[in-house]
Amino acid sequence: MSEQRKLKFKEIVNKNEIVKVKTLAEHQMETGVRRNEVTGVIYPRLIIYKVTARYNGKIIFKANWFSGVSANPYLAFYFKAIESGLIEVEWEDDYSKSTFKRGYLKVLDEEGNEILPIKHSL
Amino acid sequence: MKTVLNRRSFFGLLLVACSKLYLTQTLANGKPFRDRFQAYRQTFRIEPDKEEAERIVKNIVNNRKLVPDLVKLEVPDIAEDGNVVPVTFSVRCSMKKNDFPRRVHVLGMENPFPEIAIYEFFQGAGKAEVSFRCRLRKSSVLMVIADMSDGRVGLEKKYVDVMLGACS
Repeated sequence: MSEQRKLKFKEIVNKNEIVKVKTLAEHQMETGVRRNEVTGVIYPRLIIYKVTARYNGKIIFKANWFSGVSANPYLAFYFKAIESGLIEVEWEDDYSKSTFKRGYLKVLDEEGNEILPIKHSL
Repeated sequence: MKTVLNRRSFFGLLLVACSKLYLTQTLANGKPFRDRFQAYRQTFRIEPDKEEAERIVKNIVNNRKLVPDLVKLEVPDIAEDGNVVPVTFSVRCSMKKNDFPRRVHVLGMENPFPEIAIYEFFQGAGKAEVSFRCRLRKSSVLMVIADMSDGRVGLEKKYVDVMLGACS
């Protein structure tokens, strides 16, 4: 059972730009109503029921899924870039097994300088 | 023999009454109450129930007035494979202060489990647009309900013709 997770977004953006995040998880998403043709035994439900996206530790988007989501679920959402930082997406299984993928987003202001998440004076 | 309601019998009666109430509420006519306990792992066969789907919608809307043109839904009219139906929806709002969708429900009205997904948005998140892929058992109505944080509700539905249904 392969467990590939993909996360894709534009990595260098300007300030206040709306960024599209595309994610893909490899999962069979067993619905819990399918039967084995020979024995008649129902396969137990096993899906990804929760997806959480965080931007510098703050939750920006959440998805609660039920058995109606397709296998190998694709998900695309948007957020607004304010400062550079970490984008984390976490997938949680029915067995509470969580997997995550993270990426770094670089945000530039008008002069082309990076806006860092830490505010400090030199 | 005296029939006195002592402490033990009182608690016994209370337990019986509570369990009776609980069972009649949750296991109405021998079926699980799907719109509340759907999140639990289900390992038994369930047939789709249209009335139950309508009851779920009623519970979400909760006697509020529907705002027209709040949700925009993009689904193909004819889906070749019911296992992979691409869905894109967007909510018309500014995402500032109180003008963002708290929750967006996606429902397939003739699925064994009508609720497909619930998406939660947060303030200042840029844009309330999501695209994903869902399963549809047969040709049915796909419904998107946006529950805004200031109490408004928007509903959008579209009939999708499914060629090959998902065996869910």
